[in-house]
Amino acid sequence: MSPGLSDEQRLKAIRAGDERAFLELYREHQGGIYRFALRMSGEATLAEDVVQEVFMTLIGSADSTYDPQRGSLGGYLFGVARNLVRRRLASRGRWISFIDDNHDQEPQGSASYSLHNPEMSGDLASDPLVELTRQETIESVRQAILALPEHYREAIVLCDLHEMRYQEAAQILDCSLGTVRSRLHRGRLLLLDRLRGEGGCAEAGEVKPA
Amino acid sequence: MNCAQFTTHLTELVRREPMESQVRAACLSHVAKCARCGQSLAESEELQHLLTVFADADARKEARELVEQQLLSAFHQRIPVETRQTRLARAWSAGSLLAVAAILFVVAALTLAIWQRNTKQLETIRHVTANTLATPLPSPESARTGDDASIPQVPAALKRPDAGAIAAARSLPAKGREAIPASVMPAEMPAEMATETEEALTDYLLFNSGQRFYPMERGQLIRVSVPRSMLGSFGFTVNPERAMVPVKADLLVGEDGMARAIRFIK
Repeated sequence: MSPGLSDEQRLKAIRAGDERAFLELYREHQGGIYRFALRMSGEATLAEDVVQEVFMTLIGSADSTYDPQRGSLGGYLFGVARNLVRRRLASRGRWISFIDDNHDQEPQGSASYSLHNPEMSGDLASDPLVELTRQETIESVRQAILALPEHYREAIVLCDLHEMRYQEAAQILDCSLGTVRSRLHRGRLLLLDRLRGEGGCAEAGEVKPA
Repeated sequence: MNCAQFTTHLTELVRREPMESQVRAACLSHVAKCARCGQSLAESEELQHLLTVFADADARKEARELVEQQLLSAFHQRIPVETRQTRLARAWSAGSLLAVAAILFVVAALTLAIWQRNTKQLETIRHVTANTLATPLPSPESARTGDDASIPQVPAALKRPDAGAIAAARSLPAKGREAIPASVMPAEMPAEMATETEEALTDYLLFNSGQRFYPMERGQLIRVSVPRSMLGSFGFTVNPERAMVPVKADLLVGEDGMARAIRFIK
């Protein structure tokens, strides 16, 4: 990051054609945005498209849409990514993808997992069986998260996986802090049900945010 | 604290969110007493651990290098990059503007100076013309018959200066036009003319070769170099060894192309 430069100054530099400022901003945020889109969609190609579109938006209209009073530049970029992901997911049901999106994903396993797996809580040895079990567990969690309703998934991805504070997540999700807390709590309960193998329809267990 | 109240704080408790110490103590106290809530807390902590493992597993995942290259390409297409050359070009354009402004200023100053000089020369010409040659044009008849009454008369002030005045003029310092004796200056010549011609060695001396001049309304001053020997024809003493050394002079030429008067410049 450019030392001492505010988000506004960095954007101004980018608008003036400062390639270095653009690259610094891209390298600082692209990983987080990519992982957010990947965890939300489960598709690497979609995640890369979202990263590209987020920064294209930045190039095209950085000055006109970003308001420093409303939060950090990182939060703004996540907000743009969130909208893009939602749009893509909404249209995904109408199209069949011919692209293999699993080029960087692990083999899919069962969506059920015992919460009391002792191998997950101890040190991971170099035992291939332990490693395989770990991979299966990770994939189970991935599938369970992807099976969540979108608004719960967003809360869990941002707060639990990206370790954001409620306030930051509220800015990205464009909702109140209380709504974030409620969605996170309910999402975690649904996730537990999924991982226990009770599954069921997540939407059926949906409750109104407190 | 009851089970419902504990459930509202469960997520913050597991996530180690900042909460009041009394609330935290009450939650832990309730867990110790309620097996069901204790089980919920344990499962929630296990879930937190699973999520951490999952997050760590793809913590290093990011978009491919290709995306960065494509974005850089788009960046260069959409935003004109301000290269060092662009900045230099901008500096050059600012510098050239200043240079043009300076040139315009100098040209304007020169034009003004030339215009003022021309105006003064024109006034001089008019003055000389008014005082010396503004006599009626002789009729062709009288010109043919040589009637002296119709020929313009040279005023006494512009006639050949006497020897004393010439000596006084020669003894002048370079800038000492103000010190020229009044006898050298024509009586009709205004004072401003004296200061204006501070580099002049002599006053305007009429070419009095018996020619008949038509009165002139306009004329032209021409700075010329003439042999020093020409001074002799106006009564000045000339060193024969330096007779061919040029000396500057202002020649008053009438609109008919005839030289009317001359003054020598120091």
